Amino acid sequence: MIEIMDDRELEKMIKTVDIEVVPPEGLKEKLLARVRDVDDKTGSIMTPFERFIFEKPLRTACSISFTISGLLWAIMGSGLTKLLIGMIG
Amino acid sequence: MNILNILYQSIFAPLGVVNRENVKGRLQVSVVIVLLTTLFGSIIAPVIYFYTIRNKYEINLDIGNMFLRLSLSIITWLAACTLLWLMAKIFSKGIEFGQIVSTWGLSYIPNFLCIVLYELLLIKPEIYSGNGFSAFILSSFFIMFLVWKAIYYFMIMKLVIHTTLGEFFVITAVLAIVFSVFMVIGFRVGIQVPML
Repeated sequence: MIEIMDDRELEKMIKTVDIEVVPPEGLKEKLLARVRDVDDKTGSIMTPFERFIFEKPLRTACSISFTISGLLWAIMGSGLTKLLIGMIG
Repeated sequence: MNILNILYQSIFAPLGVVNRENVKGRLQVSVVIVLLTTLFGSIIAPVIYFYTIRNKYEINLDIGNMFLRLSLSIITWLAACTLLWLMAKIFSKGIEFGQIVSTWGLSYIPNFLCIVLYELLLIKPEIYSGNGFSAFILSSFFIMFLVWKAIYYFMIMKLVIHTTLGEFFVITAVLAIVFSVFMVIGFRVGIQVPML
């Protein structure tokens, strides 16, 4: 049997549905941090720069080393050869 | 995670293995890498060097010194791990010794490659033709190993020990002093490429 709702009750119910739910202060941030930690296996928050370096350290190491070495070669010329021989002994 | 996968990740995508999680098999991989590095640098390379040039020069194989180098390399690895663990304890980081040992051992990959290249140059100097370009390539490799090791160090500090900037500087300052002492001791017994 279908029970017919009173107009006042219906109005009340609609009003309660329309009320905006405001979460307690700080809850959003806590949830975001937790989601980020779950997503990030390391459990540590990284800056985009750190993530770029740590994701593929070989890429960074190669770029830095070839740049430094190229600069040394450009500045020192044949002196780089002598330096390397000296280092190897 | 199998051993080869851990090794692959350590080289190409270390974020999956250099962290606080208990990655199965990581400790074994680390120990193997460290032992391989120390064995190669202290025993295997000197033996190869000896058998390669013994007909050209009169040299002796100092077995006692080889084992001294091997022992010292292993001791410095354990000492570095203990120091890192103690520093983490001082700053209340709640980290286990095994986590430090297993992640620090992975950072020996650049050390191993550096030792291989260095010993290769000693054993077969012909691969270095002496011109500017070959010097550029070789110095690039040596700098690359150094930078790679430094990145591992930063990763362990940030992702394993979870240091703040201030703690990072304090730990680095302490380690710099201790590592310098290790390096000086190492040079005195004949370790040319530091194994730390």
